[in-house]
Amino acid sequence: MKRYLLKCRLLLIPSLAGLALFYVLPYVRVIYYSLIENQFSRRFVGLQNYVKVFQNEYFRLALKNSLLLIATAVPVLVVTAFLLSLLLLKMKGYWKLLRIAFIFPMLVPTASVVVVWRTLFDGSESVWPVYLLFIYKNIGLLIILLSAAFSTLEGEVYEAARLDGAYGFALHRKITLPLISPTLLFTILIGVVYSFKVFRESYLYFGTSYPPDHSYTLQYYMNNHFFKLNYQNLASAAVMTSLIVAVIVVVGVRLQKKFTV
Amino acid sequence: MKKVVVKMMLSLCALLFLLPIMLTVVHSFGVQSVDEGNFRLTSLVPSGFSLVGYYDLLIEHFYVLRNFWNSVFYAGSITCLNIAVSVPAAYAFSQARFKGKELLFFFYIMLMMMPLQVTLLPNYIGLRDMKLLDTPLAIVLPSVFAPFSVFLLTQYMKGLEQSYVEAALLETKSVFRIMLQMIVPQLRTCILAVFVFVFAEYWNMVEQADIYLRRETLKPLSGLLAIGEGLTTSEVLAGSVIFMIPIVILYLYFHDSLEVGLESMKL
Repeated sequence: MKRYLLKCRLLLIPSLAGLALFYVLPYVRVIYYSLIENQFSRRFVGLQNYVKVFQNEYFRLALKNSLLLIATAVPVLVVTAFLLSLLLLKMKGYWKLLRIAFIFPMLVPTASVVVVWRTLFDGSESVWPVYLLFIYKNIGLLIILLSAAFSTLEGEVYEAARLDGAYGFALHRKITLPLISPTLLFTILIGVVYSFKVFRESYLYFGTSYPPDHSYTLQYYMNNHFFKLNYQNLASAAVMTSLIVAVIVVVGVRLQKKFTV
Repeated sequence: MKKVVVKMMLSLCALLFLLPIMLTVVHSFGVQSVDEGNFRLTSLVPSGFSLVGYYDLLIEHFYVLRNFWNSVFYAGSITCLNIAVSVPAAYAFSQARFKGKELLFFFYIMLMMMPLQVTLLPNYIGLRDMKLLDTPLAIVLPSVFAPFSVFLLTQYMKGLEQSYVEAALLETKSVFRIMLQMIVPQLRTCILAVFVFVFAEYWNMVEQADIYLRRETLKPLSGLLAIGEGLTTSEVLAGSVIFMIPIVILYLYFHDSLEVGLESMKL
């Protein structure tokens, strides 16, 4: 048994080696790049690059737009997914197949629907088409997660609560919400994190690296600097973005643990 | 009565969700009125039946097929290798005991949550230093180690019966055999879910191809369709439909596994 457990560890090696080679070690270099003047002088300049990025008006615009996306589209996404999964729960027999319509868009290549999307929104240059595309793409996953949580709820707990005299709204507030809240928090976390990934949809919709100002998110900022290969700028923006996401994840996970009974 | 209303509402929503996909399919077989400069249609209903998009795409611009096969190669090899690396890793996470395991697993979660724009730069630097840029390996290798599958498989394994291991150890000393003969069959649903999900993700890849590849001949179809360079709108529509087919087939076959497997996606 002891040898077996030892050998089990070895199974992690391929995965860890790959992560080290393509993610961790290069990330250390990214941090290094973010702290030097340029690759030729290699002079250590502390946080100067970070200050420069932060003073860049496009970076600030991008940051603002990314946060706005979190504040507006994510709540809509989570609430819609929540309502839809509640309704879908009531469907029996063939009606269950309605789920497919909501889950399938998660897999459909964005490139495949983009022409029609532009048509439906008449090539609108506002933020809405991309927000809706974000919701369209991600709602399936949230519905799967929420439905799974809902389906574990049924039965005995409710009967017991009813015997104790809980009814209607009170029943849901006292029983459903606490039981569902870990999943709900996780879906919010997923929504927030995935909102950082919405670049592709926006990029395809607008078909350019320079979208209207209100849709210029952090990812555009980074993508565009990629083509200029300005390593210092790119590295500090990447480190900052990763820190923002890391904080969100840690807070999200903590919150979820707190609400898990 | 109330139930009927719910059903109607849901059906309406479902139609709305399917609308973009249906319109794409319908228009690809139609005569479209097109706003060429912007790659969009000017009317929602095609004015007749036509296969011109398919003809132009498959015969005139037959080289696009090469990009289709590139997509098949990239998404297929990434998905298979990713699973081959992730199953053992997930098995290790669920069986082995060592200091810092929780922390290491949290690192996987963190990495999984990072947006592409954060991981692109480290990946790019890694590839550059290994002189792999502008080769097919540039697309495949970093994605093989993407941590999502390890996370999902590990969480799925938590719900499995674990007592068989001691019994199995009486039969064989090979960890590999235990994994292949006892664990993998139990993981079937989750592996299928990972397969569909990961395949769809890399089938849909855009940014990596833009940044790691220069040669058009190496690019996957996704990027090409999106930008539509050198293609007409009817060709893009036909391409969109062809591009969707593998995903539709995978989804229709495996949607049960996909849904059950993804349910383990929790902390």
